[in-house]
Amino acid sequence: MAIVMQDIKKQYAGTSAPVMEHFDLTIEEGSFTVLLGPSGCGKTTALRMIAGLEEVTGGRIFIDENDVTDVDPGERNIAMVFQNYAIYPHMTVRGNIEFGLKNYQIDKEEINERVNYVLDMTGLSEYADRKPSQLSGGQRQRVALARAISKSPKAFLMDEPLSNLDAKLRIQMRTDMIQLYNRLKCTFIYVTHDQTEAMTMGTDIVVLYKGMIQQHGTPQEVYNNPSNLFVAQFIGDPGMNALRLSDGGYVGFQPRLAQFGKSENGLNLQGTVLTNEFMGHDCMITVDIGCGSIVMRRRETRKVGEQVSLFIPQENLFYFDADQNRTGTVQTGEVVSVFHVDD
Amino acid sequence: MTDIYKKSLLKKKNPLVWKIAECVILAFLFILFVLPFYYMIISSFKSTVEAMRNPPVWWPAQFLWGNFADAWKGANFTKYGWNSIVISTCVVFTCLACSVPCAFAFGRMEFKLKKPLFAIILSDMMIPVQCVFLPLFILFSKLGWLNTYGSMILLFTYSGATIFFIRNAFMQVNNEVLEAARLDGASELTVMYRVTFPMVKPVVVTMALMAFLRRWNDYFWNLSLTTNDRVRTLPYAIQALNAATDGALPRWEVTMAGATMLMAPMLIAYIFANKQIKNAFIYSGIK
Amino acid sequence: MSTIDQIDFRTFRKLELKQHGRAYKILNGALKNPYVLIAPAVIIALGTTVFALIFCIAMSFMKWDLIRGTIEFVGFYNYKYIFTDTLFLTSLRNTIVFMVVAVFIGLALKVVVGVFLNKNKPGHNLVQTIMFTPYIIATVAIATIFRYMMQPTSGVFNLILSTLGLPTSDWYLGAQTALMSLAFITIWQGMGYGVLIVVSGLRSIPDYVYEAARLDKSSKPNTFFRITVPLLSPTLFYLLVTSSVAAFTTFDIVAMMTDGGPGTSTYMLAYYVYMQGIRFMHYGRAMAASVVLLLITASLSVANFALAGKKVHYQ
Repeated sequence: MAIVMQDIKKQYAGTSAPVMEHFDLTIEEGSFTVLLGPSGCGKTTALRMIAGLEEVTGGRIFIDENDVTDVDPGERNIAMVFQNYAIYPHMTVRGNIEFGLKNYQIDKEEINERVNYVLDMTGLSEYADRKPSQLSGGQRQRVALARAISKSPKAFLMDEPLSNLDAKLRIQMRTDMIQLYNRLKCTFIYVTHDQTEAMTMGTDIVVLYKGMIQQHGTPQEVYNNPSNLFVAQFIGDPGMNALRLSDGGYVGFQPRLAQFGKSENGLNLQGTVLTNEFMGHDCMITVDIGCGSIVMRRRETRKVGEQVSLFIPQENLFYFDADQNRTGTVQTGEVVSVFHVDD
Repeated sequence: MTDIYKKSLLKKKNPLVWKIAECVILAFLFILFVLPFYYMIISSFKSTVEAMRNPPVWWPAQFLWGNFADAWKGANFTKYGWNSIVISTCVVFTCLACSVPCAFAFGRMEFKLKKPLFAIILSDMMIPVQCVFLPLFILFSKLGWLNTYGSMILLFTYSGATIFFIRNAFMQVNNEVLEAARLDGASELTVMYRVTFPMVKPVVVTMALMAFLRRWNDYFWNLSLTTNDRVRTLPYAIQALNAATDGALPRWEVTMAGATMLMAPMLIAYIFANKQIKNAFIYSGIK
Repeated sequence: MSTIDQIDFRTFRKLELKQHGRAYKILNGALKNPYVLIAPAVIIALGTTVFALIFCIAMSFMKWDLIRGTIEFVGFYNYKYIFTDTLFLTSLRNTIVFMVVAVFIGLALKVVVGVFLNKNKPGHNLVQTIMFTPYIIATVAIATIFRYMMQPTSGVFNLILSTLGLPTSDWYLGAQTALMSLAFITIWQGMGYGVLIVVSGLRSIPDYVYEAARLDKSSKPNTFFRITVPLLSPTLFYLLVTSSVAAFTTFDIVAMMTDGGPGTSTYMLAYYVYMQGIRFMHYGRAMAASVVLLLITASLSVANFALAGKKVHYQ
């Protein structure tokens, strides 16, 4: 039992080209699937199509093997938490949670039971009779969560729920959410552009770009085994350095795996240090190698302006073919330029 | 917790039915609000016989432009129109001249008795006109101020609503711009008049428009504060045409022509600037 | 700042003060004095509204004999008179009926039409723009056209009614129908403005609230009554207050169309005050009636505010 998006096409009225086409995605039941990508990549669109808030131009959506493509959002067995919480400003916390339950025609006692249960779970019991304007951002977020939990849905959909919170609160809520996931043992579908969030919370990562799935795998897979240049450069802090080769292919390496010095077995580069940022545990060093600049993360520092030699061992090199897809074949040629996917 | 859902149902939509209903309702509203205007304008061109014909005439056999001339003469448009123009334009200037500094003072200055004084300023928004017009009539007649331009213009120089909204605009002026001006060496007076005032210009223009509109369309005050025709304005004249239709041989077409001419300036302004006018009214509505 | 800048700055200021002498300084001082700035408005306000109100209340307790030119204090005589005057009581009744119809039906229609027209499509925008026109043109013009269209024999309205097979009406000329005809015209005139306000109120409700409601399986009527209306309540409240006060002080349309008739079926409070005051010159009586009107409109506003405290939800 899972959520399946089958051959989905999305085109906005009045536009000439679809934003999404031949999009196939299967979300495993009970997984914490993160839809990750830069803004405009289609992750929120995909989520909203699953929710039923966005019309599907072509293709079908299945929840638990039921075709829900034409079904109202309220009948799909899912709950959603929005980026700006979307709680009803004129109702109390309790009223917000009760509203949906009343629409499902559950009897009063059960409603009360559920409401009290979720209030307790999210730590909002003492705020039950307050209005949203009297709550902080974090509390409002928890109201949105409580509302979602109370419906005991098959899946929780979340659209960047933590981006409106300040940094400290965000980290705390992240842990709370993971605990919630472990407790409810439900399917979570989570949209974010923050790859740290994605990697720490998700069991499955779906990397999206320009309306297409770039890779769908575990965080480890996505980090250690990127399937194309976009994923390689999007994931990681910072992402992979990529060098274009004269024979058309690309070679990439992770900033932490580049070392100072020379080696016979691997890729050798030389250049001038441009910047040296102290990150605490290590330093982020940008080196101008003539045809562009690459980033390294090492514990040793170098002075700005210093001439350095660096190498990457052969086993740490990633090769990509001319179509920017990952390949096992060693690409040949001279380094032509430094490459970034969003150029 | 137990599952609260039933099996998902396939929902059928009926887009076509809704679309047709939507068009019908739109058409109905359109006709409801355009019909009177169309009928008024088209009837201005009818002949006397056509104007009274049963069933009504939708398109006159001939377009009698002469009706407008008749209305102009019959309602003495030159005289009343002039009065309307004089009063409306003068009020716009005096009202703004009086309201803007006052709004500035209430919006950006602190002084003793500010609250009670502001209550006085808002008084005309709170007291119904019926309580006020009669005492003013008696007062003006004792002072010999009835039937004068001056008294009408003076009365409307004060407008609580105008001051209120311009005050709000002043309160929203960004302080930092003023401080930058002060740092640039501008005197306090310059800051007041040459920096702050221009920043509320849009609101002031809106208020000017509304003041003009209110005076141009005003019937009640013009009627109450006059005993002869010296300073009576167009709405009065048109109403006189209306009253004439209760008589023996009503010339509806002339009355229609007169009303059309009265409406024309506002209507034309609205056609060209409808967004601004609408915004003007919304702005003054939402607090 | 370099010395050159400093010199320029100082000379600039010196020049400013030098060029204008004492007169400038006095003017300068005056223009910065808040009391000077507010004086014209306050004086006129005091002289017109405040003075007039005091005069009105005072006069309501007096009897002003114009022939002998005497004014004598008569206590509540005028009030007793008007409350036993059938004309006053009729006008009170008519005004209340008119207000209830015009305000409540008007408000309901404005909300419904506002919700309907709240789409950014050309057809909807056009209708909205057209609906607003009656609000900016003179009531006289509206009275003119409706007089013409409401003629029993040759009027357009009766033509439409009979074409649809419905019974015709005497509209503003019939004793039973005149008041409602005026209410109809008033609602018609105010629709565009009301719809505009409602639409802008609706647009202040964020989309995601509706999306959350859809996810909460809220049906369209449920969403309307439990989400849209409460969130629209500040707007509705504003419309309720302004239109009820306006309805209660209706004068123009009566004077232009019916002069209180036929009979006294459209005699309204404001018209009564006007007639007693200007036409019959029963000043004391007119002022007393206007004080009653003031008390009613004041209590309407107070009642509305009290209601707002409970029901109006500000975001």
